[in-house]
Amino acid sequence: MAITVPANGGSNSPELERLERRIAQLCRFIGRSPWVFHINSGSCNGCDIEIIAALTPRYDAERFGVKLVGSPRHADILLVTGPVTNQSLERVKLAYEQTPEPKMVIAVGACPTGGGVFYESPFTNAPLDRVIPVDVYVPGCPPRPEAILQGVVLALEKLVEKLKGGSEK
Amino acid sequence: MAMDVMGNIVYPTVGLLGLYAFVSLASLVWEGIDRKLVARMQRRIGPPILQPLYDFFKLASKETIIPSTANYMFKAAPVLALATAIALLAYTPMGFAPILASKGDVIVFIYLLTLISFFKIVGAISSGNPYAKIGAAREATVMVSREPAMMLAIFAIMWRIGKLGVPKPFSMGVFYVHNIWEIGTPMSFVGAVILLYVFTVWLASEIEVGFFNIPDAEEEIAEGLLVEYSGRYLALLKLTNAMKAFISASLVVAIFFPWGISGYFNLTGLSANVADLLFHTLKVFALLFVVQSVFRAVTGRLKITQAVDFLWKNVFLASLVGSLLIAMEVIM
Repeated sequence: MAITVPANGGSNSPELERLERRIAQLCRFIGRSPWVFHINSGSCNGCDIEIIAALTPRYDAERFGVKLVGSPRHADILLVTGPVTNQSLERVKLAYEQTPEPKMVIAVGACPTGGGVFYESPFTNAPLDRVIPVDVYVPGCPPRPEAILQGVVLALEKLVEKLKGGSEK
Repeated sequence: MAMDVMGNIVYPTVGLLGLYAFVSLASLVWEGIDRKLVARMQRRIGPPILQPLYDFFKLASKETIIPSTANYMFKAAPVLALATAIALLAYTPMGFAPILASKGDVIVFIYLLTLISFFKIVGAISSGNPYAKIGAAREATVMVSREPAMMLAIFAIMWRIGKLGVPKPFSMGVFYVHNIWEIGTPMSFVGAVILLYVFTVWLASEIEVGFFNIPDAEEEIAEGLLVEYSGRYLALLKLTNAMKAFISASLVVAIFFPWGISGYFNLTGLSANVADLLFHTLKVFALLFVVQSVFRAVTGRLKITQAVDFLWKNVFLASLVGSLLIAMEVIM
C-alpha cells in the first residue's frame, strides 16, 4: 500500500489491539454479524460523529461484521445518543419495540447515561434507562471511538452470557 | 417409458437442485468477496469472505416481526421471490445450455427476472410502511426504464444469431452454438461493443449498485423495499438478491463471453458441465468485479429522475443503435 495511516500514534495501540481481538472472539460467538442501528434522540451530533469515526477506515468496525443499518427491524444493537427530548421520547420507545430479539441497547455519551448538562431539564427525559432498558453505558462528552468499541465488546459479552444462560434453562 | 421419466423429470430436477445449492453458495460468497474488495479499495481490512453466510444464518435465527399494518402478501412475497429465482435457474445459461432450454425460452427468462422485482414491490407495498412505498415506487420506475433497452438488445442479438442457423431459435442455448462475435462484419463488431456497454449498465441497474442504488438507499429511505422485513424473511430476500445478481451476470457472460474450457481438456458429459460451470462462475465474478465492486466504490447514487433520464436517453438509444448495427446487413 502506498499510503500507510499510523494507528493512533502508537501510545495506546496495544489497548486498541486487545479490544479488537476481544471483539473478534465475541463476534465468532453470536454469529459474527452484529448489525447496529443508531438512534439520535436529540443529540448535539458530537457522539454521532464519534460513532461514524468508529466505522471509518481507521477503526474499520466492518471487519468484525458490524454494519450500520437503516432500519431498527434489521438491527441487533441499538446505539442511542442524546438526552431523549420530549419530541423523541415516543420514537425511542417505538424503535426499541421494533427491534427483533435478541437485542442490546448501548447508551453512548454523557446525555443518555446520566443527563449531562441536561440533567433535570423539563424538556428531556435524560437518563435513558427511565425510558427503555439499557445494557451498556458509554460515558464521555463525546466518548472516543475506542470507548464505543469497548461498549460494543461489553454488550456482546452480556449478550453471550444471556444466550448461554438461556440455553441452560 | 422409464427412460422418459428419468430423462424428462429426474435429471432436470436433480440438476436444478444441484444448481440451486451451488448458485446460492457462490452468490453469497461473491457478496463477501465484493465487500472485501471494496473495503480494500477504501484501505480498510474488510469483513471475512464468508460474512454474508454468517449474516444469513444470524438473520434466520432471529425473531421475525410482522407489522400490524401488513397483509398476507408481506409474508408470501419473500418466499415467492426466492421460488421465482430458483425457477429462473432452470432457464439461465450457466456455461452450458439451460436445463429446460427450448424454443423461445428467452421470454420466460425475462418474465421471471422481472417477476422477482415485482414480488419485492408487492411485499414492500403490503408492509404499509411509507419508506417501503417510496422504495417500491422507485423500484418500479427503474424497472420499466431499464428493461426495454435490455429486451430490444437481446431480441436483436437472438434474431441475428438465429440467422446463422441454430436448432432452437430464441432459446438461451443459442449462445453456445454461435456467439455474437461470430457474425463477423465490422459493423456487427461495433454493434456488439455498443451492446456490451448497454448490458453492463443494465446489469448495474438490475443489481442496484453505484448510480442505481436508488430503491434500497440505506441513508435516504432506510433501505426502502426491505425496511419492514426482519429475521427469516429478510434472510430470504438477501439470498434472492444475491442469486439475482449472479443470474443477471450469467446472462451477460453467456451473450458476450460464452467460451467454455471443457473442449480444451476433452471432457464430456457431467465432468464437462462441472468444468464449464466453474469457469462460468469465474467469468461471472470477473464481470461483477467491474460492474459491482469498482462501480460501487467509485460512484454515488443518482436521483431517480436522473437515472430514468440516463436509462432512456443514453442506454436505450445505445441499445437502438447497437441493435441496428447488428441487424443491418440482414435488413438491407
